[in-house]
Amino acid sequence: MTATLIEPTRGLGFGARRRRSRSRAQLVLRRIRDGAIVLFLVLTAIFLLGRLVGDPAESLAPIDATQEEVDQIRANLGLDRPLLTQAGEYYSGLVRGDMGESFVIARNQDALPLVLDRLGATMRLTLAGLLFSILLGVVTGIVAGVRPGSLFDRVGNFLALAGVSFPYFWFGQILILIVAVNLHWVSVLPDGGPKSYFLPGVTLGIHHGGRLFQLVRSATLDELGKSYVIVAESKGLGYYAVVMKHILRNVGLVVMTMVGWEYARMWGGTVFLVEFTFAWPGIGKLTTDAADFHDFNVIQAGVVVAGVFVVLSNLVVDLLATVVDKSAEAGT
Amino acid sequence: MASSVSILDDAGRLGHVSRLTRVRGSGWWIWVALLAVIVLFAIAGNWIAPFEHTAQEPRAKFLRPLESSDAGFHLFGTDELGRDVFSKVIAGARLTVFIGVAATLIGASVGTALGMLAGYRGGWIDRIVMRLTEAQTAMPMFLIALLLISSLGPSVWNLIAILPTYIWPTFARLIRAETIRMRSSQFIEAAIALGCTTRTILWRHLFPNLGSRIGILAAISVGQVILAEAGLSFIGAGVQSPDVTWGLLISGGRKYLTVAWWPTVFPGVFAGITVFALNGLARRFTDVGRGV
Amino acid sequence: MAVPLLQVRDLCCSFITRRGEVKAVDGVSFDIAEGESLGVVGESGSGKTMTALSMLRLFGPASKVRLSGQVLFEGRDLLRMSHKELRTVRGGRIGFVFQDPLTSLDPVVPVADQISEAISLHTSLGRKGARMRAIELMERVGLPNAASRADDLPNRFSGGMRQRIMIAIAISCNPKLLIADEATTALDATVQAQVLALMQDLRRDLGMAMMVISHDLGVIAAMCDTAQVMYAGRIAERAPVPTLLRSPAHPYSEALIRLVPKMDQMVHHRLRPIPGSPPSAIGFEPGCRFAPRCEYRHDRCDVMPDTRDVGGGQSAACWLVGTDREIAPTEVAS
Repeated sequence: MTATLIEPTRGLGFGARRRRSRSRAQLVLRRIRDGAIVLFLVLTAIFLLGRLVGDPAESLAPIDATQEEVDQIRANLGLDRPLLTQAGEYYSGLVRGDMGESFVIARNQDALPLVLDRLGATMRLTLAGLLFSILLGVVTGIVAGVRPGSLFDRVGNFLALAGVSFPYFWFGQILILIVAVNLHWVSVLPDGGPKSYFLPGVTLGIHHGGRLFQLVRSATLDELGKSYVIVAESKGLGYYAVVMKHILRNVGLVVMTMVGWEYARMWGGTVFLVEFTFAWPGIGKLTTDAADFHDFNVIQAGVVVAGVFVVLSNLVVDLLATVVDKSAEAGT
Repeated sequence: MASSVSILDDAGRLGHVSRLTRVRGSGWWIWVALLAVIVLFAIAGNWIAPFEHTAQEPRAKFLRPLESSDAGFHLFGTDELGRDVFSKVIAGARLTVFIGVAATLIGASVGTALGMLAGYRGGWIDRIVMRLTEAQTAMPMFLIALLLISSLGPSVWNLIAILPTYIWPTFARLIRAETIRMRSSQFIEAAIALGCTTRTILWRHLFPNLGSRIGILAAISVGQVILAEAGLSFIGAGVQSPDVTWGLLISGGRKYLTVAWWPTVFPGVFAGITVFALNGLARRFTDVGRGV
Repeated sequence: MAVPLLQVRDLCCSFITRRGEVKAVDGVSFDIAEGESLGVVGESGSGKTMTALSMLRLFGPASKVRLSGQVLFEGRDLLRMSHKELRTVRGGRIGFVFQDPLTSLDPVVPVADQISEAISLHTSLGRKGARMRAIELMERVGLPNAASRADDLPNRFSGGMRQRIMIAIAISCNPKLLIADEATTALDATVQAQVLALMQDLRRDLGMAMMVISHDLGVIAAMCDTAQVMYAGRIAERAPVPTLLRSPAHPYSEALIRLVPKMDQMVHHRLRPIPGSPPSAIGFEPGCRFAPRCEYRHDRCDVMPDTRDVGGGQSAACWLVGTDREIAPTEVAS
């Protein structure tokens, strides 16, 4: 501070840059710490909800099971021990990658590897969904935002609102009906080929693309109202040039963050429902199957993996934004 | 003035704010009318529905929409057991709307209370509430609901307990921001200066001023809850037969999709239109609130 | 006598809003000669900024505005030329400095690029040349280490420095007219003085005309030859600056000048605020718009006065011009 007072111009040079780079590293560390806290809270919530709400052993046991049989299942699940002991096992299991065994759908196999086997399929589907969301939502959102009130904007608004309002798995059903059953463009069942990503990807794209359209449009519209736009026009730039040179650059970071949030939302649930709709052999399908048989450890492992990916996606976006955003550096 | 020419300058061949608001401004009564119809279905469905929604008619399976059976006219056709799809959709409105409203009430109450507290008190309460909303948002709620339903067993009441988790963080964040904004306003400062207790200030002064915001967000939230419920019912972790919601109806028609599209399509259309109307209305009032 | 650089005739500008048409500028006419510096003074909302924006049709992309009248600049009507032609004038022949230096610059584009953008648009200089010129300009407006700071983003600069960058953008193509809209209002007093001095320098060196918009009579007095007082979308008075300060012809000008605190009389002098507030721009009453707040109001004020010449370059829109003003019997008791 003293340096800045005595020698304003120099002070803003070297010293300031060093201060900034440190603060950015601090910012990154703080983001990581926050992410870790949230992850811990999520994992703890999963643990508590799984044990305090309802009785997994009771629901896992056959309806005519005797009390001894239920107690036996409870002991197998480790649910008969004190909560703190269970918690210790839960967390140490998380670290070791041991989340108990499956009881029903793959008897005596470890639950976590079962889930991780399906990770690739789910991951590929989320990426396909992301692609279609961006295709359907981002560019259209920007175009609508820079031409508010135009026909394109109005039609886009209507379609986006429909996309987020109608149940997306229902859209999935309709797509199956039209594209696969009636037009025979692609197979109804996923065969793993590139074509099989089309329908579930578009289904995710309708929902998340609709949300992105709305978010990106209003971010662009906000940008239009800023005074640097009029300043740029006062230099003699045409509107198209203002959009290309200034608005896009400013909206870019916001859009990137929004896309990342939508990706996290897929892991928060939508991708699993789409898997169920299209019989996609991913974590969602596995978990819903396991739920039919009350296979507690498998569901829990699925929830944990999904939770980790939600937190990770959010963290990566935050970190990217921190690194990319030069203008937020050491705020003014 | 006689010599002057009027020029409409659109400064770069763009649309205009006024036209934008007019688009949004018109047609809001359509949403209200649609919602009124849905609410009517929910309340008086028994008297409106042409058939008992469980009434089977073995000789009239998979009648197409607008066809008639011996029993009468089927606007939306019939399903695999010859049940009238239109009557089923009307019957589904009741529980769908009930769950949507009940879960929203719970979520809105929790979120608003936490948001007001966090915004008004600040400090560590604020930090904890904010961290909780972050954690809640990062929960893969769909699978967690699956986990809970699998231990608890599916029931309407369990659903109403789980669904508020989808919406309370949004309430908490928005209400917190509004509370912080208003706390520094003059009427709250005056109330503090007059020696009002915190409870009086929160309840008598802040809460009434948050009303419109809460209302708008609640409308959106009912839609969110309806979609979440539909998703859970769709995979069989939600409402169970003989109860009926739109989500369950979509799921029920799924097996026969290649034979008959109407038992799947119509419940989805109703769910979609309801949520669409709620969102459309909320957006309209947001604009009015902003004074655009 | 030579044709003035800028001739504004009966300029009207109104916004179309949901509540109706808002008349921001209502029949404004004035000239700016080559090299002249015109000050426009008035309360906020008096239409001084909108007059300047209307001249270049500079409105946000999402606003609906109705314009009429004529703005002849170098013989061409800016209101009727195509957007393409207009863009050659904006930034090329007329430079514009805006009020808020903190939001006027694009936060994610390096400052030199923001300057060279205008240069490459209006000159034949290539990329390299435009950049060189941008750095030259940064030095010209008094930014130290211009070359090393050319690629910094605006947030690395203080408010005063950013306003210097804005000025560099505005003068980058040697404009014939520089419009400065409250260019120093957001700055500290010392920085304000520096920036004003810079603008005076530049005006002298480049021989450009200026239109200085400010609510601060001090700024106008320091910068301008002629001043123009605006009230409720109309010009109340126009006069050479010394004349205006010494003997204002319009009651509103008189009231404004009285509002300026005088250092030497600070102790005894009591500021007399103008009673009431300006009229709403939606649906003006007929008659003189200042009448409700005017000490000299009388019956004729129910009719809108036209602009009357006082002599010596001074003119005012008041019925009392040329008569001895007497305070009306209904004087507001203080």
